[in-house]
Amino acid sequence: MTTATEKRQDAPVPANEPVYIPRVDIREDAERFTVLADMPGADEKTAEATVHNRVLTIEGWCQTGGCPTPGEELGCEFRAGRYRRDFTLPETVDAERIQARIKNGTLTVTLPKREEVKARKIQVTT
Amino acid sequence: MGSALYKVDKQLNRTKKGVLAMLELMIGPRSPWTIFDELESLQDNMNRLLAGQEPRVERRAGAAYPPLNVYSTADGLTLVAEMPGVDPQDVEISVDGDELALRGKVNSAAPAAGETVLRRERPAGEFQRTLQLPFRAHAAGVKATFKNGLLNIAVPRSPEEKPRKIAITAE
Repeated sequence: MTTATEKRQDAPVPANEPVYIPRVDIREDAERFTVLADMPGADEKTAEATVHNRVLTIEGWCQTGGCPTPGEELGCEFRAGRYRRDFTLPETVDAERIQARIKNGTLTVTLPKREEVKARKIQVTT
Repeated sequence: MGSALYKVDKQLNRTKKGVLAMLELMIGPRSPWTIFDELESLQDNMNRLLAGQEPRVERRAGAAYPPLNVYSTADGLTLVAEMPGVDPQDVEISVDGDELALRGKVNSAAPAAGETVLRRERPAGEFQRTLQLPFRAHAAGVKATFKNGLLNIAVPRSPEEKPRKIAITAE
């Protein structure tokens, strides 16, 4: 198993917490696939990306949906909870070199392609 | 994609009940995915896109951007907006009397040269959301912080609207 980011904190996650599917954008270029996942409220300590048997799992935990100071809730359009989503990786991904970072609540997972499958321009000689 | 996310919410009733009713109209809790994890491959996603099918996404149609949580505090209101991936520089908060407007852009950068977009679920474009507050705000006292994709806005009540204690003098 390759752990791409720090292990999540040991704080217990309540079993009844909702689990959301994070929205993702996936992009591809000659070198890599890039997965951008929205996990608002998660940071580098509560987000995790793991690869096991060619399945990429991204997880995150938003501990608070809300108010830093105690107050009466007047309206709620999103809640705290966990994020989780799995992707089966294509064979072309080099699982050993996967990297993940999180900024402003968006997790970015970089999945480099194997050297042998990268498109290469071959010089044509006479 | 140039589609602008544009939504204006107006609340006519200034009572707290009105705030609740307004929010309930626009809101509904996101349905959690609690039983099965989604398992899909990039290849499958590509096939779906090529076949012109909709990608499998959990999405609420017509939801306003950004989603907001609203709390009443001793000083006024605290709003928490969920806006992951947004650069705080791209967000403008304006307060005018009892109206608070949030506008800006999200994920508006075009993909880099040579990049193919295989899937796009995250909101992108310009947004504007206007809220009618149940009181006149003290504009100079509004404080906003942005952390981990959550924008926190503390809106204090205007001083002249603060409840005053009136001492009763005995005759």
